[in-house]
Amino acid sequence: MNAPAWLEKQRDVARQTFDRLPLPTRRDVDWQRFDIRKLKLDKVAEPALTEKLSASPGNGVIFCDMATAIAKHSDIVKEYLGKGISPDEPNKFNALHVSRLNTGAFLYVPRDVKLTVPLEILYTLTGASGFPHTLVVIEPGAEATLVQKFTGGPTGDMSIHASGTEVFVKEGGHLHYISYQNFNPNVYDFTLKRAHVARDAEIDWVIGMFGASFQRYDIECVMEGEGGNSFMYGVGFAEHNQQFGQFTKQHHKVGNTTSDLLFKNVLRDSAVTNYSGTIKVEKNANGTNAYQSNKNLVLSDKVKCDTKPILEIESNQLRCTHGATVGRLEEQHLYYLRARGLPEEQAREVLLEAFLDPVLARIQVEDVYKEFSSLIHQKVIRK
Amino acid sequence: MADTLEIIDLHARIEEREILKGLSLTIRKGEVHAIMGPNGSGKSTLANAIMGNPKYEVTGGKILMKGEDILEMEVDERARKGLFLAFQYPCEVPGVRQANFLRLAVNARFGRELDVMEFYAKLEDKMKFLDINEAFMKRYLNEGFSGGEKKRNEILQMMMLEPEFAVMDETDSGLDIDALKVVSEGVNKLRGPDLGILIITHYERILRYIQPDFIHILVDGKIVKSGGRDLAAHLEEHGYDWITKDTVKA
Repeated sequence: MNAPAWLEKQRDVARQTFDRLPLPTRRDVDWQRFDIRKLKLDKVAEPALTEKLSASPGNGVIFCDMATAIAKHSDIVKEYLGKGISPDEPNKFNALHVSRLNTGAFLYVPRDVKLTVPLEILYTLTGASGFPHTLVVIEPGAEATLVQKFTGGPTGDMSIHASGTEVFVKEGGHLHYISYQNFNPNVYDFTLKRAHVARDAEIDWVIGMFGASFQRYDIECVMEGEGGNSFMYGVGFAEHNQQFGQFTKQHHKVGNTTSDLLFKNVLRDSAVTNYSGTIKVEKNANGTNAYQSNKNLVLSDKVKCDTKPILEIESNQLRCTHGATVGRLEEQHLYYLRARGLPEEQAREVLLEAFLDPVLARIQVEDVYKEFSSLIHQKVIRK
Repeated sequence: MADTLEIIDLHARIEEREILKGLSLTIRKGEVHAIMGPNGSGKSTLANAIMGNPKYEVTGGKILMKGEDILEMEVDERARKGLFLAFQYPCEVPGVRQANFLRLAVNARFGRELDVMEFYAKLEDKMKFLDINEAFMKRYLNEGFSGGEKKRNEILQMMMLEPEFAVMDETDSGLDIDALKVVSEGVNKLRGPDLGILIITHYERILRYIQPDFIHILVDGKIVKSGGRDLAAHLEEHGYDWITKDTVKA
């Protein structure tokens, strides 16, 4: 299928951007913690990824794969695609993904339509590369729950997954967004998620990071209208030689907006995590509330855990807090559970899961909560 | 022997400081003993040494439960064998849900997966008795609980775990009179031929609600006086000074 001219143009821009940008190395400040020498981008395999969507609920809602969206809903897609995540952003992996953009999903919820049943997208990486793009438009007063799962990846050779999720929540709209990746080992995952939040609109996010050899997540909320809220929660469990980069940005373009963030990680074996959280408050964004917290639980001496807040604040009327901890299991908690008969091993497992539970508790969809719990439980008991 | 908790010439220290200096005490099932003592006499060290808090080091003596030396056992093994400590300061464990925790503890104690219905029926019954409301079970373990709620929760755990020997470490501290009554009623309900109880306290107050069979006075790491209930009343009237002077003279 030939892509429409407007899309081909975006891909072109992305291709040029990709060619122009060098592959990051340890000399780049955001990449110091990571070893990505195994990653080769000169010969990227043909994309092989499937998307499976739950049934569209009707009611004027569009929920379909990206190819269908481009063919049948070109006018709406064109209005939004690339407006939240630009093809020429200085991000080599984003450029790679946009240049190959032909898979993914589109969700469009018309004005005032409130969906109670969650919608689900399952992406499965079946070959050595995949570049899905998810576009979400929540029209004014509308509400939806979107669950996005990233899985798969061939065993053996290194494979690359680069994806984007581009979200628009318009005036008074509300998106509940839950997403996790549980790729097989050997997958290198580069993902950019960005939500534009309009006046009185709200997005709440729960992001799970479990699989892949390497993942770099860039997750951003852009607060564009007064009364807008973003509640961003993340949970990561890194073990063996897994390397997780988590780069968040709470960008307040206008005032009287609120963003809250909590990211929790467990690190075991020789895992590496690097959390970097930017709070950007623009000059006239008075009355901004921005909160950020990153908590890490470390289970071995060999892990590397970095956490860094970055404040770019130009307004002087705001409330902003940030905090980070890196710690071990509390001895007194362990003693207390053991004093009630739990064997040490079990007590440790319970406390590990407990550390992450406050994030999981944010998941409003029962089945998905159970799925997160079970993924974590399997990691905890090393099944 | 099979029905006793015997503490024999116990010496224990924390951070190089010797606190217990040869304490001996035998508790039979069915009995309630109270140990009273001023601050710094070694009350909490005794409770922690019996349970096996790794921060405390036992440097001498023995503790036999039903004839078995529990000092050779891990903390959790002691608990599964029927030893219970009601903590003075139960810790808050965010992320661990009350009901889930209790279920794991009960399964560990009885060595089998309790039927879910059976478990909840038992739990509801005990909660009712202790005047604990249902929402409480969905909360995280002790998180944000008031002092009274935490102590009530300790008694709830005790009722669920049905220990053979229970040590209550200053369970009365920080309780208002209503909470003290509820907690005491819980303990009195558990009291019986299958349970030996050791109440550790600074104040005589709790002993008005839970009548002990024996009272022991702990001073400087040793039991210096033992007797019946009248000892508590005497202490209340004269304070610990009376006993310390008395011992010094002796």
